Amino acid sequence: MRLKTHICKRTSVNNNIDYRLQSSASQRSASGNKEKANKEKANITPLSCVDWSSNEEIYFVSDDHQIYKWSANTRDSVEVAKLPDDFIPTDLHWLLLGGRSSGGGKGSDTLLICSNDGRFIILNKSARVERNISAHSAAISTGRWSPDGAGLLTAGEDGVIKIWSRSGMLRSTVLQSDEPISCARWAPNSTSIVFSQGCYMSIKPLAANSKLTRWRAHDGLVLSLSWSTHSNIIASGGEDFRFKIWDTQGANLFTSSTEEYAITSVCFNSEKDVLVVGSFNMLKLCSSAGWSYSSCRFSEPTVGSFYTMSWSTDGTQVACGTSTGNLVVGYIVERQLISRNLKATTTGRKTINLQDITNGSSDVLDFPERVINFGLGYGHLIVATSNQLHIYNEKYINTPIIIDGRTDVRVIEVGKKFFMVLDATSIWVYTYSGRLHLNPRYPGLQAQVPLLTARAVTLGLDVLAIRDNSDNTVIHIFDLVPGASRQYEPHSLRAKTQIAEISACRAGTLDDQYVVLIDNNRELYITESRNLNGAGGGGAAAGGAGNAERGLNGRNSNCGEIYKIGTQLTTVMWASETNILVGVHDTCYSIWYCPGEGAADPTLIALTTLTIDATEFGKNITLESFEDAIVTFRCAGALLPVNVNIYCEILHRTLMEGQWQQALRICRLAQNGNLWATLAAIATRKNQLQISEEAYSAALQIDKVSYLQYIKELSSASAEQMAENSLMLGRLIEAETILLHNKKFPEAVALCLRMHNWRRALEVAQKHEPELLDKVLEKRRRYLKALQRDEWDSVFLPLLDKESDDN
Amino acid sequence: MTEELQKAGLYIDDIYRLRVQDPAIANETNELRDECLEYANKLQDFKKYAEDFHKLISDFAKDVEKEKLRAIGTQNLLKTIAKERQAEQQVYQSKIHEKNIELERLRNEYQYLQRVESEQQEIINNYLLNQ
Repeated sequence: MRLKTHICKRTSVNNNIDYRLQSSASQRSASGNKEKANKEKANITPLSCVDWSSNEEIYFVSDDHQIYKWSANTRDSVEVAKLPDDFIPTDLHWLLLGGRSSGGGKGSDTLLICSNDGRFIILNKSARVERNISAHSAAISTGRWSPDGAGLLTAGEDGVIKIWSRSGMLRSTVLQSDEPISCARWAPNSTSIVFSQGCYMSIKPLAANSKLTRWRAHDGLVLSLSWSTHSNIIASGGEDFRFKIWDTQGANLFTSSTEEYAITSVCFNSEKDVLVVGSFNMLKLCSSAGWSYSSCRFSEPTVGSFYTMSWSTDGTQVACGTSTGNLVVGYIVERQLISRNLKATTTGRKTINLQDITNGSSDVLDFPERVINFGLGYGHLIVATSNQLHIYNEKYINTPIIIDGRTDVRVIEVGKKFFMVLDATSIWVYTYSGRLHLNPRYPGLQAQVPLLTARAVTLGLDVLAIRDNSDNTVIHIFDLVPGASRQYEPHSLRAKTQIAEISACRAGTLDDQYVVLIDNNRELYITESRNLNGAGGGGAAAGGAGNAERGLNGRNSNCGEIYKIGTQLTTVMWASETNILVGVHDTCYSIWYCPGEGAADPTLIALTTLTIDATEFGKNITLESFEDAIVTFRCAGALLPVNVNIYCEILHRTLMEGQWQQALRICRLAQNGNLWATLAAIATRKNQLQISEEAYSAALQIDKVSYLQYIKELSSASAEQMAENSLMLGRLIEAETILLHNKKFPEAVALCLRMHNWRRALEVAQKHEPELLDKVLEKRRRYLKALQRDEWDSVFLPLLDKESDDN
Repeated sequence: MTEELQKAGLYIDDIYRLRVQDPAIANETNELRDECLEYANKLQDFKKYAEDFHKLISDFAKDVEKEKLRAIGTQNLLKTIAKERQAEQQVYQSKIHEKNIELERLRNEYQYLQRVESEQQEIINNYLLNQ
């Protein structure tokens, strides 16, 4: 990835001055030259206030008090307004309430400009000053609107940080100190502020009575900060020639090597995993993990230090203001996506080069508008330009399908059957033929769309899962199977903890669809994502328990069960063609060969999970792709492919097609514990008793084998066998329901007793067969005796009394 | 008679014309006049030459001044060139560093790809053996 830059001529600025000079020069030709030189020198005032008002327009103002607007369409800047002469601007920030539209902001957009005498002004879209507020006793170093748009913060060199409402009413004084504040930024969720004083950085949560976290960040002054909305980390650049990346607790994630000059500015891209770092005559494009893609030097002409940088809202362009007063605009080129035989690279603002290594072809795709985003996978290339979507099939490159009206697409996710785009207004699921398949809705979605990220939305084979942004514990799951009756009514699942990231499996069969969740404690959970809609299914299914198919539906009674299958995960990814999951921990990675089917049974998860040390890769590993049986890790910029057990991949494929004998042969050929355990898990789930018995015995799970033998002894397809089978799959309630509905009360009570579910046993006995009561009490007595305790359960106490009365 | 005339301030010259001035003096005066005229002319010439010379010299001085400035400029440039080279070297150094990192990345990738290839080869061999 590279940054292509051009220095924008502030043409109108120079022209103006030249014109004035010429008129004066004609009168005094001798002194004219001198004056011209002086004026030009005076024109070199540092440009420290730059921001995008839309994806095409940059507003900037330097010490000459003139607000200019530079437009990407005309590549020219025009004067917008003039500030008062005593107002020396120090910071400028747009609040874009109109959303992320390309066509320029809405009327409600407002501009904040701070000055070096402690004032700030709020301007409306037509550049009329609406508020002029004296806020600090010294220069304001930073003025920023909060990401939620509710207010703004100002931080001054008097050591004070204040928060103001949108209309400029003082809300609170967050901090009062003696040291000047050089930079301050909001957290993406607007609940805390990071700021720097001298060599120190601090994070101040806004909640009452919360503690300030403060640490020494650099050996020199901290000059610039940036808080990433994309990955919630903080970057800082300092006078010690280094830039560093921190997590929100202040732990250091990355420290760069010393650059040639001080790092004057850092800025995270809000949409992509990119950080841009500015120094003297140099811009560096880095990944969020810190390693650099490329650097861009300005030796001729020199531009000076980069004082300020700002990414456009769509994350494709960056505007920079430099110490010599130049406005430098850069955009990312050579972004690359690789999937199987296809490689797509952006070569310019409007071109993509698509290479296919199987037939050696290389096509240059031209677009009428700027390319904002693109996705590649499953033989399709999806390109989002400013207002359109282009769908390319690898077989018919020359005839793309074009969808109009999708503006500023932020996230593209390709699946086997569908692809999903997240744009400025909503989430859209399309088929590859360009037909809109689903436009999911749930209460509150509209307001959340700007806050949704790729981590919170996931497209599986047949499901779309979205994490609710107002309540982070809730996931909404949409069924994508064509003709599914409740497509527009999501199934909402509630986890116990806050969810940070979700990912749906990309392959498998209709019955085996899973979603994995990573919560805020970085623990990994898995849940089924289909067959969820039958809330009453358990009862209905058990009624016809003799029927095998109903038995399948019977699983519904345990629907929505969330199982924990891993801890300390940084990120996870499903395989493209099978339900194998790979996850990255701090210094190792894990492969779950059978996360879905085995989820209910911790031993199975343990047997089918392989954790491999990854210290040889280095630090900060991320997952790039997982195609077929090859996982690609990205580590310090290098793409490192690693094979997973290919037999297991083939096993999954054969099982998807229901070829059990073939699967057995593969397992026998490979002779691998993981493989047998995987087969066992799937076979048990699909009620293939014979095969699961063999698989379990090969995986050395003696207890399971003997239990399976016991199940097989029971008359086949009887209620008892079904119940036992359910137990085997860890579905206690379902087993009990099956027994009850088939009027097998003694067995049901015995089951409850086996599970030490005393109250339930008692309840069942009392309700259905009073003569079983004695048995329950007898067992309870023995249990108490073994524990050497007296009865404590309030349900059993009256019975105990009665019994003693009888005696 | 000549003396008489001389007393009256009159003279007779060689061709017996009556003169009011001694012819010898008159001749000398004439000569002197001619010489004076010649002298004046020569002086005029000299002045021209001097002026030309002055112009030439001052032009030359200007050139010298120019050259001098240029020399100082070049000298300064020479001085900064060392610094420039140093900066350039630094730039190249950091570029080399970047390329090295890139190389390391690619080498790493290659190594892992080779590993994948050998694993796949192994599986193929294994499969063929088991056929």
